[in-house]
Amino acid sequence: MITHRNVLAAFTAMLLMGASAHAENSLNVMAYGGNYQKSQQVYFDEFTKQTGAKVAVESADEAWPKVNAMVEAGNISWDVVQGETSTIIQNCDNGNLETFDWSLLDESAFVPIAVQKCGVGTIISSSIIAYNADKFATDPPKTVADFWNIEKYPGKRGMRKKAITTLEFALMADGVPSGEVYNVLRTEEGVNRAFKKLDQLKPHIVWWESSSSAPQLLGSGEVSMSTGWNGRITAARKDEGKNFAIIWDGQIYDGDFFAVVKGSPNKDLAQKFIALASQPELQAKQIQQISYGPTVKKTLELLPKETLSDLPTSEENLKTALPSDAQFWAENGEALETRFISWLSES
Amino acid sequence: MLLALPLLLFTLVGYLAPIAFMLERSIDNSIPHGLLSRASAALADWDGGELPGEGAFVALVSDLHDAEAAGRTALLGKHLNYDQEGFRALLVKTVRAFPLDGSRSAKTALGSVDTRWLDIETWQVLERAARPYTLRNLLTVVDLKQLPGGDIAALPEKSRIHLEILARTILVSAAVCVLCALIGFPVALVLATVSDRTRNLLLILVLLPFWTPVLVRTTAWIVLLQNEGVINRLLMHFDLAETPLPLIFSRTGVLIAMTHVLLPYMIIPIYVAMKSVPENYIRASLSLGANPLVTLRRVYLPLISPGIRNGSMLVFVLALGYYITPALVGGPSDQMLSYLISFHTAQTLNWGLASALSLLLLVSMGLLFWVLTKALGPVKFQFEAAR
Repeated sequence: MITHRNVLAAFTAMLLMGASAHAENSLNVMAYGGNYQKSQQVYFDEFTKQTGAKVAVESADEAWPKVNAMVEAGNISWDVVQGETSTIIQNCDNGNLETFDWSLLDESAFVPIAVQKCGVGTIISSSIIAYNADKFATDPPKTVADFWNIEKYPGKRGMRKKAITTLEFALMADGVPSGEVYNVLRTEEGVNRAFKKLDQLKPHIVWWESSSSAPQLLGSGEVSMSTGWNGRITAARKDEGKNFAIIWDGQIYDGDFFAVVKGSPNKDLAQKFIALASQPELQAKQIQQISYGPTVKKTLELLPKETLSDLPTSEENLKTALPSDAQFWAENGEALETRFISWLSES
Repeated sequence: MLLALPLLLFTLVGYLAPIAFMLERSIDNSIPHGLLSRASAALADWDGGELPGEGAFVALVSDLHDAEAAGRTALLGKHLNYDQEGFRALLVKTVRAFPLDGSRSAKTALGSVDTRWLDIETWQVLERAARPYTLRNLLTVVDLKQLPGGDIAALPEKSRIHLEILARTILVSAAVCVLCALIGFPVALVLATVSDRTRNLLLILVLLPFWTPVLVRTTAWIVLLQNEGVINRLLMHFDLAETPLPLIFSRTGVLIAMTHVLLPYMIIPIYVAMKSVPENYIRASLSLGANPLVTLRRVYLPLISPGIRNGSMLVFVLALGYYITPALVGGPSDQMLSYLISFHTAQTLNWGLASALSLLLLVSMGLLFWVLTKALGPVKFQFEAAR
């Protein structure tokens, strides 16, 4: 049935996408760009080699409104999309994603958080606090609480402009042990407590949105510490020789997923791609280029020792780590993000 | 007349129609209405005075049953949560208790899953949420909400931000407009008085920003204004400032960058107005005994005022919709209404609220335009205005 809603969605999809034609026997994959997308090339190349199907990669920061518009308009121009756990759960619930056919893969080969109804985990990424080691050479910061300590560690702070991860960091800095964070956040007083803690730091925070901003802000000296994705920070250190260091205390780790857009004309091919990207040999190749944790357990055995210490999933780094509670964010994300934006806009 | 037909059609299809669709979305409620079709029919004659009869409970159970079978419970919960927090959790809990005990009435069964189903407010919210259209988004953007009983009340303080941001949008736009006029007037005066050769050169300089993409111009300002940027380094080098001035991620940054981007829209109309003032008017005024200041105030300014007015209107209206510049060089408390629209379009995917915010911007823009034209007279084009 063609209603004006569909017409509008088609309009929106057209505007957002440009007019991208859907070529035969090719797979359209949405990616995040930057170093991470570069590291995924091993999957794209291997897939083309095995199936003969071309992979067209498009990088997008704001992927989900586009997915929403595509599904509403019934004009699907992406097959495979990526997202963090809560996003995958939400969009699975909203009917934007296909249910994944888990008979293609062995669920028990994965770490538990990588298995979702609509998505297959591809990496474990972590939100960490990084600092410019040139600025704090003696007695460097070690804990989340140090991030709040402006007297001892002067300079602006970079933070992701999202409630997710920010509220958790605030509570941990306020002394909540990582195991208790979500219990506290489930109460109204807990949310107030997190915002109160953020109030203390607010004048010193530079908010970032794009995932490449954290290393940029640290590199330009605009901030002396920043939250960020661990892989991006390690990559900046290794590839660009930046003297960045990571505080693993209170790291918040979360899966990142591949999923198939609802109504994708290449559904089978897309699932085949996701299955291929879950092979431990290929995951090991990717992880040597970017320091994210693997989702397939066996991958760890294939990695050299020096790579392991940079991973969020290494034993040493997991001591005070906080696993992101995707169910919590899928349920409360919208309300908290909206409150967060209101809080931000207060001067 | 016929020649303008393609343009008219184009405007209709490419501009007015999408706006109309978008605005319809702000009151559209078809998703929950569709998922609650039976409950909606059963509640049609309900007056809201006391709990509805068994029929409504049965209808709701079968609606929820179908929604769950289609995997739409969470989606329904998301929409009901807009009207009342906690509704999503209530639905998920209820659906998990399915199938209900058939030997009891649907009312008793639902009540034993959660006592909130025996609460009249739950049903008042549900009844309103099941209608095909909703006023929720339109109320939210003016910081109001409808209570379960139907009364209108203010939003809780934590979410009462929309009118404040609207006021900020208008304030920043007005400030940019004044700054543009203050800087633009002397430039236009120079342009109108120099020789043709110099003027062409200067005009190119004025128009240069037009040919540079807005993103590039804004990024250039970031480079200049940031803490370790050119301006702050110079200031600190000459001991004019001890610590870097907060030029970026602040209101100052927004005003500087927006004024620069919008300046040509002010200069050109003023310049055109100045060019059309015959020189002998000024000479006549002076020779009739008015001193230069009086001449400026009583002869020159009135003659070029249509230019200033047109420039101001252009700058003001364009500034109201600015998004990318404040987003890049402003701090979180400098964001304007368009930022909030983008937030709800791209982050929360609450397109109904985003549409309602667009409507708020459109209506306020229209009102302001109307008030300004009432106060200053209609916008005229220079070639007729100055004669």
